[in-house]
Amino acid sequence: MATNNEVFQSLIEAIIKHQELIIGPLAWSEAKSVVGLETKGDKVFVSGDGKAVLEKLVGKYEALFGQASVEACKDAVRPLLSSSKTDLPEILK
Amino acid sequence: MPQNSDEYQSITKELYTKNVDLVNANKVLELIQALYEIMITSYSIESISYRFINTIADKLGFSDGLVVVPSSDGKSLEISGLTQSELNKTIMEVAGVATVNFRFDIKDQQNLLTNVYSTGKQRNTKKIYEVWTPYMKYGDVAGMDNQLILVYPIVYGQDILGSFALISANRAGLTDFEQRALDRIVTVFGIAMDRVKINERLEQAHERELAKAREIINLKDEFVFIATHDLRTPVTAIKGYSDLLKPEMEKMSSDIQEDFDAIYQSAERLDQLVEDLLEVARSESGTIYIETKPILVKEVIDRAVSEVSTIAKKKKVNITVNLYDDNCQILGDKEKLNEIFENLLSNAVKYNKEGGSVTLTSSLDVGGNVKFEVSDTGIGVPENLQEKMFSKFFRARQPGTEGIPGTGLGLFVVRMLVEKMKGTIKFESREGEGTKFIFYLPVAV
Repeated sequence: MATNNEVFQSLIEAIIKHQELIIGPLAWSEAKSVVGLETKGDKVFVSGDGKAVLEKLVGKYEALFGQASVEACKDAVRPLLSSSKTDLPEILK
Repeated sequence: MPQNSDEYQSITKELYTKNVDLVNANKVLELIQALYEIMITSYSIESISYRFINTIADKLGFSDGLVVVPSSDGKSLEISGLTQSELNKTIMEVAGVATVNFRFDIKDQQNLLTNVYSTGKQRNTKKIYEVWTPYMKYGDVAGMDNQLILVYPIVYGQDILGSFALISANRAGLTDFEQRALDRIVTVFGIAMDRVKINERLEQAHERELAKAREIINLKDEFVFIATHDLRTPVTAIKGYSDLLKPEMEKMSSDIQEDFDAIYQSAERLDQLVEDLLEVARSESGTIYIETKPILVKEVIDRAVSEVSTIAKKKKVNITVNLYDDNCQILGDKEKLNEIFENLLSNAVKYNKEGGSVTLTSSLDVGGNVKFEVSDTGIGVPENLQEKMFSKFFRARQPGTEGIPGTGLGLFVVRMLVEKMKGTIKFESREGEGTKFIFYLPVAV
């Protein structure tokens, strides 16, 4: 069974890859600057509170690109949420 | 040029939104392309349904889906495709029914699948039992309500071909992209279903026609076989007694002799027809037997020439034979070879002009076969009729052929026998000038 952080790791990875389709490599460079988030190639590693890290990442994109980017994040995680009961940050609800 | 950072922000957001539109448009295109690939590689309703619903659910992030189509009696809808999800497995267990046995009565409008099928109108619900009733009641599967459930009709033109449902937890509605994608999917689904139905109908029609054709061929073969066997006995009797009477007829008056000749020739023609039909019947049923032995060709040709000499003499047609080697031997069946030469020489004389000539030659070809040529100075065959020369019952009806006896099977039998002896045959003909038959048979080494 996946740990909580592993679940958030999957969600964060899905968001970054989805954002990469829209804004290209900028998606990864913005993600790297989020505290608690480390990237190696196309893999991500979360340390600390996964939910908080996720919230910061989405906030980063929102600050740059507005509400449209938040909707894009929601689209990215939706397929993964249907099989789990993850406690999402408010921004993604 | 942007004047300040607010303007930059605004442009950036605008560009971002445009990019999102592009990405979504690409996703829709990719999805439609995937569905198109499924459409051209699926040949049954079940295959299309299963592959479509699983692809759509996967690409659009739905956890479950199912497709229903009308049963053969048109009274119910049955499941033709289903996603392999936990929810669907749970529902099967709760209902206690295997997938293939689900039947949704078309008159039961409480069920959304039948309702959408009957009305052609898309419906949404949050209650899973509304898709599975009467196999499920409200609350049968705990925690399975409050899902987003979309039910669409599968439409092609004016026809509703079925309906399908998509189910997702954890979402309130559809994004613009998803809505646009589903609108297109519904159209593609209808096209795909209709295409498969047409293929199925064509295949069934083809099978029926094939079965009919096979039956007709079998009946025909049986008829020819039985008829020729049953005809043989009386024909043999007529010919036999005619042969016995012939010497006596020569003592009768010319009128009586003429009438007798007519009977005798008719008996001969009937006899030949029965023999030809039997030969054809045996060949087509695979029961004809061809010997493969060395045959002295000159002996067979001499006999065939002798057999046609009477009619040749009557028409004053001269027959010349030029063999490259009087001791030449081929591999084959003596009687069948005689039949080949007799047929070809007989035609060459019958269709010749009064006082014409027939030439029969042989030579050795580079392939190690013996090449035979039978040519005449007769009326030839018009170009538009030549492709039918070897067809069954074909007789070239042209000026000059009136009154010439024949069954229309001679050349068909000749080609059949040449090929059975591992040879080939062809011909050249010019109307008004004559015809040449060329055939090859393996030399006996």
